[in-house]
Amino acid sequence: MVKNKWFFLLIFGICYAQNNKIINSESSLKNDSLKIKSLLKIGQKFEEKSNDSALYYYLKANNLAKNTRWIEGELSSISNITAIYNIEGQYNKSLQLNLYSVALAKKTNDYLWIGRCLANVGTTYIYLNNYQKAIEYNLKALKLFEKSNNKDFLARMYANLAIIYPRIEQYQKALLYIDKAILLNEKGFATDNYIASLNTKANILCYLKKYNEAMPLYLKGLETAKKQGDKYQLAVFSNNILDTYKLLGKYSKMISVAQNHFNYCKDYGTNEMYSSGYKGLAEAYFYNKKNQEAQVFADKSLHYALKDTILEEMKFIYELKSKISFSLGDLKNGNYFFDKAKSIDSQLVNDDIIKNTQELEAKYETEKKELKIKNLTHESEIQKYKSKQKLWIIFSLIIGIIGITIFTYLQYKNYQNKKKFILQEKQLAIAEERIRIANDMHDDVGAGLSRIRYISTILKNNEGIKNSEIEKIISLSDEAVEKMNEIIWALNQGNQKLDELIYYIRSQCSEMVHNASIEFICEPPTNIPNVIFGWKENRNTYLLAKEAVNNAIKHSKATIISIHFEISNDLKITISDNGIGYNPEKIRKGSNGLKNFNKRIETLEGSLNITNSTDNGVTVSFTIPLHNKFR
Amino acid sequence: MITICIIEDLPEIRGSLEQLINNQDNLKLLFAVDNAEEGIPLLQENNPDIAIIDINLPGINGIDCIRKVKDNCPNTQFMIFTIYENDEKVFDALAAGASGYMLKKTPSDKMIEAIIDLNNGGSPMSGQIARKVINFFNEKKKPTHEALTKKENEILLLLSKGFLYKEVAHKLGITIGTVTQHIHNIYEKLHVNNKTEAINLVYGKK
Repeated sequence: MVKNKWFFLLIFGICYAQNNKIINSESSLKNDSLKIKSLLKIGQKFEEKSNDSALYYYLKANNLAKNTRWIEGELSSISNITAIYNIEGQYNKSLQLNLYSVALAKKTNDYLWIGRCLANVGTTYIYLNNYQKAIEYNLKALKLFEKSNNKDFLARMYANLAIIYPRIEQYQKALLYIDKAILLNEKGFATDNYIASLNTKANILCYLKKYNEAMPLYLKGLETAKKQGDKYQLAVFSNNILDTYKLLGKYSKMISVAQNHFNYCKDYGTNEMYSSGYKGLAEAYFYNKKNQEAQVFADKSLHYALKDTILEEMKFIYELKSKISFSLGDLKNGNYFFDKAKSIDSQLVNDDIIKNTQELEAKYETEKKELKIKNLTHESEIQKYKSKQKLWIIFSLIIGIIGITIFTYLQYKNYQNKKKFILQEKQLAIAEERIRIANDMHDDVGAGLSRIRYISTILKNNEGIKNSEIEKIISLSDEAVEKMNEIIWALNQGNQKLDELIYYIRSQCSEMVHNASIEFICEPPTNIPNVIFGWKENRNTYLLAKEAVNNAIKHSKATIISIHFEISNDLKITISDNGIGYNPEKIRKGSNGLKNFNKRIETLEGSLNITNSTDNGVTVSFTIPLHNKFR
Repeated sequence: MITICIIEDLPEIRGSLEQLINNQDNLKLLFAVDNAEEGIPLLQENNPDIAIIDINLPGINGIDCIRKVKDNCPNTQFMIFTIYENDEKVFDALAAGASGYMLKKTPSDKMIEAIIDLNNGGSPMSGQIARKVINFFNEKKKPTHEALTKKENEILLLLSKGFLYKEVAHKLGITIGTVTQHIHNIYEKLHVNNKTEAINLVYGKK
């Protein structure tokens, strides 16, 4: 009974303070907010008489706040609605709404609002007997109030925690918090809170059976309540004092306290209060062994308790009546009232079990819903994360594709340009080669053919065929074929390696020299590096060697002609004979042979060296650089 | 008596060859035509000792002509008649079944010599062709192939380096006749291996 009373007081206090605050601080708001505020005010007025009516106005206020999107208004109304739900035992509804209000409050970024909503969740958990959760939420709220340094709310949180901790038998922690609350409330202006915290501390001390320490606090609370003129608090304190005297065994002090208590209860005026007042008197008289008076007051108390069917009160009074009957020696009535009390007790226990079951069910439902919400948020977070991840993947893919496309395009363009360039180079080279081939054909083959034609014409015009002329035609045509053969050889792609050039020079020269019945000495080098000669180099080198050998065959009267190849960084070809040498004066300056020789060496970027002696014959050696040609 | 056939499209050259052969007592010209289409059935019918065939013919060329009649003329020696020794096609013709070649610039007395030489098993081979033959046998080193002997390899190597038959014979201490005989054998192996290759190409594609 005692517990329930201060508990109700506390909840009520929070709601009341919240509404006051809104009304004071937001009075300048528009019509809508004024309307909401007045709706809340009307609801509050109805709260004392009818919870349903109060709820009606609170819900109306809530709707309006929602529609006008005034978050603070919505929060205030929720706070009031949940208070009603708590009183009506609709804890599940209350919890859902309070949890929603926490989420809503977070939008305001106001520590006070968030803290208040968290505290309301904690309160609902107290009703649900889930004290651990209640502590958790209250501590969260406490932190926010500490941050915002709101002493009023801070004190209330301390007080709340002090109420919860005894439930899990942590009295020392409860004392710690209630002392903090009292300290803050002493300095503060909210006297109701101060009184309430005094009551709480005294209650805790009573739990610890420190009745002597509790009594001064109750007395102080009573004094303060008197100053305040708070009838309810006066009733509560006087009742608690009465209880404590009883527990202390100071029965003589009980009657005067009970008298005062009755007066305060009468002032408050409800059936419950009347019952409480008469019950106090009955107890006081009973413990002072005045059974007759006690019985009268007990009957009066029962009368009021029966009016509102206050079971606990009824049970208590029947027990008292049973005790009084036994004291009066009326065993029959004693047993009768005892049985009555017992039956009410079993009903209470039954009710309690039902209530507990309902609570457990509600708790289970709540937890299920909480889990669902948690899962939902978790899932939505995962979804969010996934979609975020997906977005990133898509984004990077797009970037990647664009990058690759650009890169490929540039590469392709580069490749195209290169291809074009190479093609141009190639075409240029081909054009050059074509000109060179045409020149060679013109010079070598063309000249021979025109000579054949010239000789043939003479033969046609002159009667009598001269054998010498025909011989000339044959040799000229052979030469032309030979030259064509050489051009074809040089043009052949496969013949552009240095070894092939050397072998070709050897074979051609060998045949020439042998045909002239001269001994030929030529041992090709064993290791010929892999060098690629262009057809220009091939042809010029071959022609240089052939020309030198040809000269030796024609002019040296040698018996031996040799060719020696030497390969280092250059290709050195030495053609020597053991002939008679030549007379430099006899060689015309600017003669075709020499001119050609020099021209070919120049094209090859090489050098020419000729030694000439009458004893050792002629040695012609030319050097052709091989750099850049190694493969 | 050596029987000879000629497929040559240029009438002057064909005529000159005909005259040359007809003037020889030991040579007998069976026919001379100017295209392979006409020549192929005649070759198969007559089965001459020597067939002188130009590479560049109108229609079926000399190489395909040899390929077609080679199997039906087991006793015929095919001789390529060409202007250029370095012509890529000379090797192809040799691989297809020819055992020798003659250059058109060859003086007539030498031409008769070459025909008799070929009939006796001698075969000409330039350094270029020797090189190609070496490459052919190196590439087609398969167990089924008839490999070249060590001597044959040596000869080919020297020829490829520009040594004349005379010089090869001198270097290896053998006669020129032996050298030509070796070359003839090399050509035979080339034909066989080339033919195996062709058959494999047909039947290997399963």
